[in-house]
Amino acid sequence: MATREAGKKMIMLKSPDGMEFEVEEAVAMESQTIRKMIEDDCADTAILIPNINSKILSRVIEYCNKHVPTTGATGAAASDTVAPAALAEDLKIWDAEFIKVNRATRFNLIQAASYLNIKGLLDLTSQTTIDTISDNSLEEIRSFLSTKNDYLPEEEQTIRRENQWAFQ
Amino acid sequence: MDPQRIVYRDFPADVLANILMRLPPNTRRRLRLVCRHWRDIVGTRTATNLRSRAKILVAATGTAYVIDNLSAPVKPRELWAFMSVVGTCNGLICLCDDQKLGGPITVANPVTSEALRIPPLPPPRPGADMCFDRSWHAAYSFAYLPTSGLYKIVHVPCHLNGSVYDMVHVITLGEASWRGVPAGSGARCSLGDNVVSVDGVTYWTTPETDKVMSFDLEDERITPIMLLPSVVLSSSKNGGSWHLAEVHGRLAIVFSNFSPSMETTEVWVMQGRTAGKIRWSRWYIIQMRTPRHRPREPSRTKMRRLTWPLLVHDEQILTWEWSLYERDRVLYRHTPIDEDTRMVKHGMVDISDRNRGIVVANISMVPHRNDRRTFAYVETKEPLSAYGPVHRLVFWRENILRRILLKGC
Repeated sequence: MATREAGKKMIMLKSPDGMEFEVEEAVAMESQTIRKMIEDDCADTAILIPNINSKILSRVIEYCNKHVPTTGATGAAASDTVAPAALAEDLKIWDAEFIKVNRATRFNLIQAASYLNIKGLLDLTSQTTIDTISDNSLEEIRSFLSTKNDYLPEEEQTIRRENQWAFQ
Repeated sequence: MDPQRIVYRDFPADVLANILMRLPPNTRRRLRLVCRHWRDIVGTRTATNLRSRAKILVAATGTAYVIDNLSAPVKPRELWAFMSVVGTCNGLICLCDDQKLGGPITVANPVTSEALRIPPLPPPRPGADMCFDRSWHAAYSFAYLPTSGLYKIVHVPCHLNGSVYDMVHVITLGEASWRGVPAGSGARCSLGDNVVSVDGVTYWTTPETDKVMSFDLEDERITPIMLLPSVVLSSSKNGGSWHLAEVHGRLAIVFSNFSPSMETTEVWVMQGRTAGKIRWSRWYIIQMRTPRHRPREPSRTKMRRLTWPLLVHDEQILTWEWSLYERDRVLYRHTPIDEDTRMVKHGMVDISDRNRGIVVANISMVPHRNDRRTFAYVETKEPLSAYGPVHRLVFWRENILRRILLKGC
């Protein structure tokens, strides 16, 4: 049984909109960026996480809580008796649920995962985006990203030709 | 304002690069078409090879070879191709079983040994006779759609060994059946060196009129191309002949005129199709002096022909040389000479007994068969399993031999 130990070090994370999140150091250190700050002793009081609002930050913390290695895990998620394979399966299902968010939230999560350098979360959010990108036409991708085709016809033709010439 | 609309603008380049890096190179290359920002990121941050790595695939009846490098020739590697090659895209080879009429199509990747069976074409309207000369594959074309990344196989309307196909048939890789697009009898293809797919469009010629038909693979519509180079339009008068080919990723018309001493070929390349206006420009002129006929030594009478459908590779013109009684066909390359830019955009080639070109490869083939074709080919791991259940197809001869030996032990 993993229970919260009294002497566990806690870290305070602050979002730019003023919310504060108290998390275990081990959970916060799922982020390589925060880990570095802690290791460099830049994190004695609270860490301000710029560009990530409280809504997204709380989701990121939720993810890290779930994914922190079993030995340091909190809550009811992990148990010493659960086999690793079953645990991985459980995490997969949890991830699939976790990523069922709207597009804007997913983009924000990608950015947060990238800034905080959380590999698992970046993989998860990117993969979902990749599935969208691979299965859609260019026009659908553009509308999905709210971007426009800004090519001159000749430029576009050149790329089309390069593509078939490189790999036909 | 929709809160989702502002999201993408803030997407940092390294985050986007991180996402694009996870895609296969072919998809990444295609996604450069989304917008300039994506093109720049793919080009500068994802280590995507954008240069051509194309090799040459030589296909003949029942066999195929890969030539790795034109300028440093080694012995061509032989592929175990028991079927005829229809075409190549991104390292995938489309094969057709020519053993019987209506023989099935298979798309395969020799690098991964994955092969995908394509559902059979609907049966043709029967005609008078059912004789068969193994040119069944000639009505097919294999194409890659640059914008959607889909692969399609096209079967053009034609009259083949007594069977009549009045429609363009098309199937997208991964689909369960062919679609028919009515074409009318005037759109029937004259088979043999005449079906070419370029940049998402399949082109073919019709025998009765000097006309090129085009089938846009994005919207699946048939349109005739009326505007052709003047030399082609007057070919019935000047006695020349012409066929379609592909040059540097563009459609080309190869027009040849014969005189007793010389065969002159002009290569016209189509430009500016996207703007709605078609222009043709003469890129190459190839002069082949007719070889001296040696009635006492017929095997020394060498014939020469341009390769098809790939006739230019690495800015080199490719030709075959052979004689009637020998199995060996010699592949030559020729560097076009930039002499008169008013006459020809990319250069001229003069082939004669004294100026024979540089030997690329010696390939042994079944004599009396005129079925040898050249394709650009790259070795990739382009997957096929996404399109349906795949089976294994061993291509390389040495692998098959090894397998037989192992079984024998």
